[in-house]
Amino acid sequence: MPEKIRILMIDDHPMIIEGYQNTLQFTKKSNQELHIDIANNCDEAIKHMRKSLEKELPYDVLFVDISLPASKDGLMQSGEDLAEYARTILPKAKIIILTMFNESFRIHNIIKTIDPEGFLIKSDLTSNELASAFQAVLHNPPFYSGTVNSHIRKSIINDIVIDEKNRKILHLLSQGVKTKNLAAHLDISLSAVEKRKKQLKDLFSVEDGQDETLLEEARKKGFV
Amino acid sequence: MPSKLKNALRAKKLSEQYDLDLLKLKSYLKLSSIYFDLNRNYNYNHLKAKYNNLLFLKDNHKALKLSAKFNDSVSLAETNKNLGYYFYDKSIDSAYHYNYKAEKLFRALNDHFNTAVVLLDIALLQQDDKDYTGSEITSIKGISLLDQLDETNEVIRYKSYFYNNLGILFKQLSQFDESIKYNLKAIDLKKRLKGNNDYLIDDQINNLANVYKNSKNYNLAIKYYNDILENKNLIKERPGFYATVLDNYGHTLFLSENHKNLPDLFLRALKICDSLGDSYSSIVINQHLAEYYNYNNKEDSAKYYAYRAKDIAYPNYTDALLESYAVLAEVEEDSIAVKYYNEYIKLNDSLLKHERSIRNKFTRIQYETDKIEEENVKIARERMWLLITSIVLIISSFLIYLVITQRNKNKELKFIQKQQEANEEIYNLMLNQNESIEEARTIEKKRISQELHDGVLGRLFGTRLSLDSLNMGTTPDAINTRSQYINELKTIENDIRKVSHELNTDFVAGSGFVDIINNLVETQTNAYNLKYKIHHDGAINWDEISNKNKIHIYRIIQESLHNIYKHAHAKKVKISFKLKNDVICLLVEDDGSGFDVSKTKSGIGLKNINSRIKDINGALNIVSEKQKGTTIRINIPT
Repeated sequence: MPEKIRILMIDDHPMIIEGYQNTLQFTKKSNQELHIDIANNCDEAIKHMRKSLEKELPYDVLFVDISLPASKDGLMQSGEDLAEYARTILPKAKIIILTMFNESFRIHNIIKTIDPEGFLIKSDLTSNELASAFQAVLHNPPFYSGTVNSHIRKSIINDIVIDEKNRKILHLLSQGVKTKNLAAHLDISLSAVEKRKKQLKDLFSVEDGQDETLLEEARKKGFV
Repeated sequence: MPSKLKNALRAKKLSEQYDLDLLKLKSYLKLSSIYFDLNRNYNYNHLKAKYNNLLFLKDNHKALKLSAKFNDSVSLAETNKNLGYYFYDKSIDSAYHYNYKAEKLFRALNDHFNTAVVLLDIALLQQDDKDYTGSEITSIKGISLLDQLDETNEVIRYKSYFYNNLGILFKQLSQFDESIKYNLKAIDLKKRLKGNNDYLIDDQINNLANVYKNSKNYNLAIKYYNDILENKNLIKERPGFYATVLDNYGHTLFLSENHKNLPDLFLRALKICDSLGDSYSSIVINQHLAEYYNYNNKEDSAKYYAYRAKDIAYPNYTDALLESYAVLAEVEEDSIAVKYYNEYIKLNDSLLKHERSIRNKFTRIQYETDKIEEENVKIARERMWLLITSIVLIISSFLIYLVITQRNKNKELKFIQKQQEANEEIYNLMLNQNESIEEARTIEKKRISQELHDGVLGRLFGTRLSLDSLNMGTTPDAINTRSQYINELKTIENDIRKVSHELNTDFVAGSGFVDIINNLVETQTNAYNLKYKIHHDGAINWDEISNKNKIHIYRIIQESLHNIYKHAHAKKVKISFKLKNDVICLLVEDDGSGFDVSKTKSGIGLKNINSRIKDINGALNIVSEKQKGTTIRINIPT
């Protein structure tokens, strides 16, 4: 009895989807039959998900890329939002997050909000790992790639505890956002930003007061 | 007295030896007072040689200088008084001069007593010279001064002297009632004096009696003469005075035609006078005798006494001589009488002339002294005014100088401040520009990163994943697919090359200043309605040129554009930068009205440009042709 697995792959790069497909087709078990749908953006993905519900053939596995162009109505800003949405309408579906991002902030956040069955970082992903991740997610979730695991470990070991806002500040700073523009991103005043930055610098014992040093320290400890 | 003189002379010698001015002055004054004491008392005639007139004069002139030097007006007044007193019977002019000075000084010092003392001298001098009105005024002045003082012995004494003088002068003016009044007052005052003053009182009574005699009140005159003559000691104590009174008594009797005791009285008086050698009194007595004998028709005796009187009187006693001529004219007959009468008239005329001249001299001396003093005051006042004016001038010119320099300084400071502000503005502009460049860089960086991420990395990842999965396959299908992916890798390679190339072109480097200049020229020409062309030389590395130079170049262009707009009425402007041998050559050309470079006085704009060029060691060259335009060439060494 062949095991029919419905898959929705969401990525804005057709090459990548092709890569996933190739890998999965080559490595699937003989009793597994893969039915793969492709979505290149959020809107397509939503359409596919709704359609599968209508057909009462919901997806078993979702491959979600984090960096996706935003949906036309602006509700979905990234794969993160899409995955969250998918959780509500396809509660049984297993979600595999695939992202170029290897920044710790994102990893932390994604695990917290989505708690995906699979979490893979594209840059250190091989076809073998993808294949085993796919199998593991189907039968024995979760599967986190090595990078993700080490990030999680780092932030657990660290005695430094920082809240969401501060994490975001560190993240934005690492993106090269200027301090004066931080306030707009975070919906807090500039003085509050300055205060938080000072707090962070104290926390990471940055002595020279430079943003670069702060980021370096934060990166070392896995907060960025 | 001799020891006093000796000590004073020693004091003078010592003070002169040690050249102590104040002590010298003191000793001179002391010696002067001793000198007068010596002269008043006949007992000290032998001492006079030790301090004679010559020494007195010398010392007093020294004293004048010293007191003037110390501004010691008390000593100065005292010295003048001494000199006036000294010259009283020697030189009327000098006496009058010094007394007049002394009076002024004492008056200024508010020393009423000494003023009065000096006034007495002046009054007596005036009386002597028959300036009766002057003498009267002076005497009244003196009395009124003395009236203001407490009645000490000395004050009373001097008052009596003044009244005596008034009595005499009114007698001379034949105002006998007045004369009698003043003589009585003098007698009254002299009686109040302390000590034995009989001789003074006697003198005064004699004077009073003379007035009565002159006013033909012979009985009263005789009575007063008798009062004096009652004193039996008088003939021993004051034989001269006794003889005078005796003569007066006799003459009064003669006039009242009571010839009982005559000419005995005259002869007795004459005898006493002759024995005393009192020539003046004897002249009068001789005249009286001549009159007496003439009256009694004893012509020979009359002529004898008349000629005797004349001989004694000639030439020293002019007054008496005049009287003698009158007597002779009376006594002689015919032609001789006429001759003496003529003599009398001649002498009288000369006397009158002399009198007048002297009176004039007094006024002149007084006038001259006043004038000199007035002139001195005037000169002093003029000097003071000159001093005040020059001080005011100096102060005001100094103030003006201060104000001007301050104003200039302020101007300079303001100018520098303005310059500074302008420079700061440009600096900020450049900073802003830098910032925007930086931001542009960041955006560009982000864009490239995005491109790498989205375009290249994704495809690379997909291709890798596909190749990875196809790695094991050996089917022709798999080989075919693999070669497809390898081709894909080639495309990616090309994309990466493109990105790399984009990265290599430094699209923003050095463009900051050029942008600023472009921006400036665009906005300025836009505001001035000018067409413009701008040319930059890519060889100029603006990043390496100091901010100072850049600021100056910016300002120069701004100033030039402003000048072109204001004066040239140009339509087109061309600005170009060129680099030649490490010198930046800036050209600003316009097609305006042009101006005569040699004639135009450089205005503020051109001055500013010049100062800026000087600051960056540049060189300015302006070529302008009327109706064709102006070209400004500026060379700036880098």
